[in-house]
Amino acid sequence: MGTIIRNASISRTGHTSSMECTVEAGLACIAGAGIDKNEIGLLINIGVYRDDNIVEPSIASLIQRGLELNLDPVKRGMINSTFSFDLLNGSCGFLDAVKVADAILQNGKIKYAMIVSGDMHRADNAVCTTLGGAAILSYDNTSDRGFRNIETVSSSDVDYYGYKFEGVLSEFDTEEGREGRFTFQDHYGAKLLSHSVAATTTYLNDEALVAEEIKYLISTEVDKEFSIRLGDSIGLNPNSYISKLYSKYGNTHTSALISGYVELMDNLNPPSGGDILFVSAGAGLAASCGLYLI
Amino acid sequence: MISSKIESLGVYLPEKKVSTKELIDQMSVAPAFDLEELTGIKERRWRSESEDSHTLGLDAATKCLARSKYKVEDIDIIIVVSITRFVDGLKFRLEPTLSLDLKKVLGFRTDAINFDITNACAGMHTGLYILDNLIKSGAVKNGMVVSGECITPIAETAIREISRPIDSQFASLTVGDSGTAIIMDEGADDEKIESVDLLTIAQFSDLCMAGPSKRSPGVSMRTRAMELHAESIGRLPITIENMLDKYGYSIDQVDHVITHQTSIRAIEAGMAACTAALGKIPSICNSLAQFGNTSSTSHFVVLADYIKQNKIKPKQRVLMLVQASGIVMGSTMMTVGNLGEGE
Repeated sequence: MGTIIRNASISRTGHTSSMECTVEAGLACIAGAGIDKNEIGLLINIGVYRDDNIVEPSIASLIQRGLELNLDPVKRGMINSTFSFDLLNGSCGFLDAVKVADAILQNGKIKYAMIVSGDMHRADNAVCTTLGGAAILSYDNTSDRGFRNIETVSSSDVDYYGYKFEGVLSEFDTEEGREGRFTFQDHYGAKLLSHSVAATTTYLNDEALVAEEIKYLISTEVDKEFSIRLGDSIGLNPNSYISKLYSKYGNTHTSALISGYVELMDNLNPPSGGDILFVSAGAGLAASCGLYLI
Repeated sequence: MISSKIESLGVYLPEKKVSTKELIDQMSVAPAFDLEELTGIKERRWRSESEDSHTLGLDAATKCLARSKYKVEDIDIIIVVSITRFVDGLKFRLEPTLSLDLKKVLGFRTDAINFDITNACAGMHTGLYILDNLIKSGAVKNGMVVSGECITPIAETAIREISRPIDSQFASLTVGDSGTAIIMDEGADDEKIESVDLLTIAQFSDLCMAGPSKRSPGVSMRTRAMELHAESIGRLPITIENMLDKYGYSIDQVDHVITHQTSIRAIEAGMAACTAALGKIPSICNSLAQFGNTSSTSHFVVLADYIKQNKIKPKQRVLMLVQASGIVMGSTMMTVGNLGEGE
């Protein structure tokens, strides 16, 4: 029993709007899921870098409109409805959203939950490339498939956060000021890798998992070596699959785990079983781990 | 299935008070209506120079923890739900999260879950909905939901930018600053969250939008107020009726109703529509006169105010009606426990 990914999709590259890429991925995901989209009762947007730095309403509600999900349930007799909101936790949002969706699905309040992702920022040093992602989840009572425990660990160092993204209110009268800026502390990549290795090792121990037996690792990719070094450091079997999408898409930030999953499913032909270890990591420093049985 | 409850409530309100008259006096063009009479808002709290979303949330969370039986290291999750994301004065922050800042400064365990939620004025209810589900599923034993709502910068922009007697920024003059925090854990028969029922009517998601202003150095909120009012109030009775049917209650089993604190006229119109559909609405609470519209924290500012005045008592049933940009509608119903002196 567990929460399973019924379908996942990504957008094309080249979008200049986070909304457009996210809606494109969402529409593809719905089309491929083989479900009645009106039964999607929950929509969680985990995208962080949004068009025009909109703060209200939720970006999720605007995406919901783009996906045409239960747009006016009152006028349709309240048969189905969708509740949407934004969940922000940098590049760690996907596993948080899975944890939230899993609880709501387990409690039987909804049939399907949908998580959407996507970021866009024009700055040269932006932490994200633009790629939309979407995943539809449901609860499976009939098999062992699905997500196991998800754990999060943040750094106890109050002075080290890796990077910040901020906009200064008094500068909002210029286009550059409204866009905001990224500022980095030294050694972000190395410190994030070290934190992620420690968090993942703790997770494997807590869950009584043997690294060598894990078939697939899908992780955040802040650079082209990050996932490979993470896999090596935790003792993954050299023959295990590791997501390596940085050279194809760059750092897709909130879409990294969904795009990694889509790539893996495309490569698993015919589909086969096994465990996926999802690891997300980012600013804070923070890292989350979750095991998923295909 | 187990239930959840609010175990502790903390509300922080800045000391500074600003009257509606003081706001109007700063404008180059007066509104075409009597704003105080229309809204029922005489004054609202206003941040000091050292206050922002982080400090307002921190002050509320600190009060909440002081009243709780839990130590911070016992708490499994912290969710920050404010619309505004101002730190270090007036810097708009997307990363790291506001929840991570509070997690570190308050001394949460490093393995406590943290994330931020944004869902306009439905923020506290969205956090409560998430935590209610996490507690019921057994994923966490307890948790904290915090909003540090530093919302008066939109009023400053409105004062600066409004140049006509009718303007899409007038709703920005209703807001006030505040912080609220709740700690939730497993409920009991006489102290529990009885329902959280929320939906998003995304057909109207663009009727109220806020973000950086292009006209001056600030953040602005632009509302198509008449449409928002009509579309949301028109759907309110059916939304409540549906929830009461789903959970097996009637309106006469409710002791108090707390609406979103927009304006007295809107509250009266909404409650009249509900009375026509559902029967007599019990005590309708509002604290508009003193605190105005505190956006995501509004229901909990009123709850604390009424508890402090001994108008809402332990074991009474409170129905909170949610109305937020999105449009998010729905309700949270709870039997309140002993939440101390409220504010």
